[in-house]
Amino acid sequence: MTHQEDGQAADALERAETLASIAASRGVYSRRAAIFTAIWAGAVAGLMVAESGWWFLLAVVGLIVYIAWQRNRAATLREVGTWRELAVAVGLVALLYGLVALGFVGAAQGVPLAPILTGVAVALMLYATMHVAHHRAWARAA
Amino acid sequence: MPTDGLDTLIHAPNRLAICAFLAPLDDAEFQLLREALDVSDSVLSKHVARLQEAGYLAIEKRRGMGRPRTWLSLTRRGRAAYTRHVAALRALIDAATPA
Repeated sequence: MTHQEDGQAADALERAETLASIAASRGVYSRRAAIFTAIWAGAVAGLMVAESGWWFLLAVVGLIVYIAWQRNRAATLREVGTWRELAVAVGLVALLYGLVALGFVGAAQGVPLAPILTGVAVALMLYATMHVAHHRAWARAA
Repeated sequence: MPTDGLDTLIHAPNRLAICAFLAPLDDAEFQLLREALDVSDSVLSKHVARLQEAGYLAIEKRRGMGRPRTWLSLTRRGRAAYTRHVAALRALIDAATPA
């Protein structure tokens, strides 16, 4: 192999890796989207625990925004999930429901800040999960 | 056809770029790919057609609320060919690099 061919192979590989990174960045949700989703979920959970009817409206608005985002997206990241990741995801969803249930119990027992604490806990947990998932997806694509 | 793991069809710079862009994705819209590669519609269409003929790429037209959009994705065969091609490129570079 000549030096020129060697250089061409290296250049081709470098360009391929750059393009894969660009593609991954378009397929993965942004940090802003993760923050927005976490705040939205926290607000919905908090309003549910506070037994305010507004949670339903907020949930519907979130759903509409999600559908609009899905329609405008131009790339879908390839998700090759393992059974372990699926088990972790199921566990996290159960934990989120558990937090909301705990919030209801706290509110029933007269804890004054139960809705706020539930909302903050759900938002923080969801953001941390999305942050980790974002980095894993990025690393897998690179 | 493949020589030493290198796939002559994918080896063309624009076709390698198309495969590289689609590799981490399930699918991508034609216009996004065109912008990423910085090529014209006709150039991209030509290369996409070659990859599709070889069974490396699938094309799907989807109708939303606006005009129909064209989505591209690597087939299982295309993904395997691209993986082999990249591995061959790495092997060539490694072989040329002094230990």
